[in-house]
Amino acid sequence: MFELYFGEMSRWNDGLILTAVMSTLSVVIGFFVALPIALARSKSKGILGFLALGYVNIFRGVPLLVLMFLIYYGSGQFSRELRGLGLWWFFRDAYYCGLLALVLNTAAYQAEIIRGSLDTISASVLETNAALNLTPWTSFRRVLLPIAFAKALPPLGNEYILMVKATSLLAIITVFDLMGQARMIFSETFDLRVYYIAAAHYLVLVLLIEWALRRFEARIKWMA
Amino acid sequence: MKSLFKISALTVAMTLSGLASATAETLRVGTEGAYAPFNSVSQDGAIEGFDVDIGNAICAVMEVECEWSVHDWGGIIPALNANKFDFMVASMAITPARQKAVIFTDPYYYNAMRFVKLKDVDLDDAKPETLKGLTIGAQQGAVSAKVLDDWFADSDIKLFPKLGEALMDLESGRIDLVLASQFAIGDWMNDGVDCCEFVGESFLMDGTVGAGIAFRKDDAELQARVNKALKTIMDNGTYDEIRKKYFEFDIMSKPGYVSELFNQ
Repeated sequence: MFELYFGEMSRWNDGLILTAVMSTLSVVIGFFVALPIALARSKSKGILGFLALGYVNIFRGVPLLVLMFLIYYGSGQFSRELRGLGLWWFFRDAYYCGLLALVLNTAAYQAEIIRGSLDTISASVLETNAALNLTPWTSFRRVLLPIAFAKALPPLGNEYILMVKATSLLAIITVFDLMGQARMIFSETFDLRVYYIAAAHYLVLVLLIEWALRRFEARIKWMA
Repeated sequence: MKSLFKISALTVAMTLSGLASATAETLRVGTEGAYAPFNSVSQDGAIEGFDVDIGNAICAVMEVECEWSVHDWGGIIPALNANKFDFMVASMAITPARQKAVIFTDPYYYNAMRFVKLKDVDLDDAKPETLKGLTIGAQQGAVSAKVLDDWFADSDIKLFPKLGEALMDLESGRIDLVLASQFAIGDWMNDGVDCCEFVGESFLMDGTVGAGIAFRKDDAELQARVNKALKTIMDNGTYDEIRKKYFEFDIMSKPGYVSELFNQ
């Protein structure tokens, strides 16, 4: 067991870093993609709300595995056209393709989480903002968003942890995260204990994230 | 009383049918199903290819029923050891590392590997020094991946779950070369892709002695039976008939080793 870890230390570290970086980046970028979608879902009854609903339905409905495959190998089929459009540098890179798939997926889930918490803010808060003569933008930025964020933090943390585990799908598009490295070591050693080591890595990573989230939650709890 | 008779008649019938099927032994054969022309799954779901024909010919000699199933390459050895099937005809190269996990028959062909490159990439030869800085793809867990790891440290190596995905990325220009079985690449090029061409000589990984049929370590008895049947089909011409169906050339002569080619 120890030689499987220490003998392959650099691979395990590479995998751990990649998993941590890809999941964090996708959750953070996904959050900013999700904000306008959540707002449209919550406030707009017109075309914007309809488009936001369409986005959520599509990207929650398409499995992440399928999405990744479509973006990576699908774009490969159109490499000539993408070169013409000057977009090939992006789609050529498996890391960018993987990140794009993760962001599109998590943004759909996060948008629904944020919409939910926006909707729970009571009407009296809006009336107070109006009484104080705040513009809609200031009201959103300084009052509604912080409250919604504080309320949404526990489910957003949940989404973060789910994304840590979803990154294991990256191995199908040649990006070797923790699970990809584990599979590679396994294919050389045929030793099933490799997966115990992988599981331990995920567990430590998730516990660390949970610990950080708990501290963060305690700090902004008063807003929720 | 009547129903009791019915039940006992049913029991007898079931026992007899059980006996009847026990006389015709059934063996479960595993393969990958994603490695044309050796083994692949056709559009109507049938498992076919050179490996499958060889396997069926062996089963015919042994007078047993063979039931085929497909398994992911990365987990095919654990699947065999977990008794998901009885033996594997999957073009698996015999290597010392694999021999720690399973046992093999004598080789049933030599599956040499060869580089295939994009036509746009300007290369006359494929040696570690000429491929410096280029991106090379291979299938994860395959012997070609091991060769790249051991000999091509200055190239950028990308590993794919399936060979077809590596070839897709070659065609789209994400990678410059692929190292894989020359037969599998040849089959892919015959399907009308014109992006790519072979470069350099074909070779075997050091220590590999060709592709063998694999068994669980404690199943030496079955290994001996299959080995005998393999010898029979090689001697009686069945093997050559099958080979001609897929390849116009001899696949039982042995190519050179990597170390002979790259160590100068």
